[in-house]
Amino acid sequence: MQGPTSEAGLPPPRVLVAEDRELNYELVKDVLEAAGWEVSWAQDGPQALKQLLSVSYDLLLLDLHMPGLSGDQVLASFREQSQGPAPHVIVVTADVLAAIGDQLVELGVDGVMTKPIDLAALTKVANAVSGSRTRDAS
Amino acid sequence: MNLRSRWAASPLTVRVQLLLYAFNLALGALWLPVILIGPGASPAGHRLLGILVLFGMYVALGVGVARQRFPVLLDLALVMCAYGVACSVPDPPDALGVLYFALWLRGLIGSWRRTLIAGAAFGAAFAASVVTGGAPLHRDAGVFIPQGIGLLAASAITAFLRENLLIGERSLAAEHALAERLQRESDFKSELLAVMSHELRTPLNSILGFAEILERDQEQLSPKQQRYVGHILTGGNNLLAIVNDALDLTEAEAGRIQIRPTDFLIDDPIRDAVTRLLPSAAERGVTVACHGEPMRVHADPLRTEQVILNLVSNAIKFTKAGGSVLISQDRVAQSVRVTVSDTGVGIPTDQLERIFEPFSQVDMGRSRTAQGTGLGLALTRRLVESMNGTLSVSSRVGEGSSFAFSLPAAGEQAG
Repeated sequence: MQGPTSEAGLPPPRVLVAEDRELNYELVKDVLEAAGWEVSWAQDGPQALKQLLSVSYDLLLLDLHMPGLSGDQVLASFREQSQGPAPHVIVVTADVLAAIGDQLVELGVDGVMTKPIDLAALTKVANAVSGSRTRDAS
Repeated sequence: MNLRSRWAASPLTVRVQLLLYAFNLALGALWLPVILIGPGASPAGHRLLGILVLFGMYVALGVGVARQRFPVLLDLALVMCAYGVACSVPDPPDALGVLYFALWLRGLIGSWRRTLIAGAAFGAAFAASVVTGGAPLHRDAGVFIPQGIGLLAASAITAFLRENLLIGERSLAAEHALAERLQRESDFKSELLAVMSHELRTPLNSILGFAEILERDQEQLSPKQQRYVGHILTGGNNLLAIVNDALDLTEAEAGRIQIRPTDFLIDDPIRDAVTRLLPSAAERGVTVACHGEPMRVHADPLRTEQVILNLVSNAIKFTKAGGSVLISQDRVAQSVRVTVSDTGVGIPTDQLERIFEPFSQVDMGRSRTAQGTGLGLALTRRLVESMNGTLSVSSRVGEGSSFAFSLPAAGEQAG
């Protein structure tokens, strides 16, 4: 709640972390909450899709290998079913070969980060997203 | 196991042998009285020789059948047939016909070497039959010998041609199977590494991530705890470097490494790499310097930086305090050559080529003196080669090493 954006009178930015491993989620949550974000968690693909369709997020951190639906399937289904505003999408994956492939570019994601995740880079990206939100709103 | 089921269980080759064996036994039984007491029976000594030869062959044949050694046995059986028939029929041309048929068959099914051996065996068998008086072939020796030799040559040539054609087909099939197997193994290896990389990265995410968070809140830790967090980060980052290098190397070996070539100033990645490595060089008391005119190359900038990082960090790692590392570039024909030389420990001559093999950091005694993945140079060479360049090394123990790689100069590449 003490993040840079709350001072602009906006509600805190919201991020959905689609990630099946709790430790990975906890790590990201710790860092992003410190940066002023409201962090939600989806433990598998179907849950991520459900939350994406019901809540409007500013940022989606998307793991590729998840039970139920894979990250790219979640994104494709969401694009198909949603008419509302789409969050910025950063794929966060340990699958380096998928990360350097062209298929993610075709999927239209805003960025790809590989695990182990660079926390400084993540903070920077998150700040950029919340910063652009402030500018859009004013 | 009774005889019937044994027969049913036998492969065709064994059945043929058994039939031939039975045939020979029957012939021998018919023929023995003839050579022993028949009209024109030979002298006693010759008869004894003939009997010994015949029974020696029977024993050999029997043992061979029992052990299922087919090719040798077929030769023997054919010899026995030809010999038995030749000795039993009254007319020499019929005997020759049998011999010719046997040789022809041999050439058809056997190797050329075995056909020649069979021919020699036939000759010996007929010589025996002539000596023992079993067959009156000596009268036609002038015809038999040239004809037999001619036929033998023709059979052997037939066998030779067929064998080589067949072997040609066989080796093609074998090569194909081998290539398929190697491909499967290579695919498996790549997949294993990709999975390993994925599986190692996930725990590393926790190790490095939480250690980093602890490091951020340093003031809450005791000095000892701070030091430990530093160790966790160093160890974790080393492990991450190994995982990265291993995956890169596998991809490079499989020819799948992504190279996105463009024209750029070689000075840029050199400067970036040096900037990144200066702190660790300063920590070790090693100075790093660059010189050379600005030059443009045609390569992948990120991969080029990876190459320079590897070479310069190696140079720093193997140089003692007070030493120096120099990075220079010059133009050689259509390439730009970058040389990274150090005043470090050097590499023994006999190890110079081995250092480019994976996991082959030069052993200085038993312990490795410097930390490293052992994959860096193997990967570096692969990367340079995949950008159409070359990597070479020269070194003197105690004086230092010099690694030079060349990349195509911008505007010089084909197309």
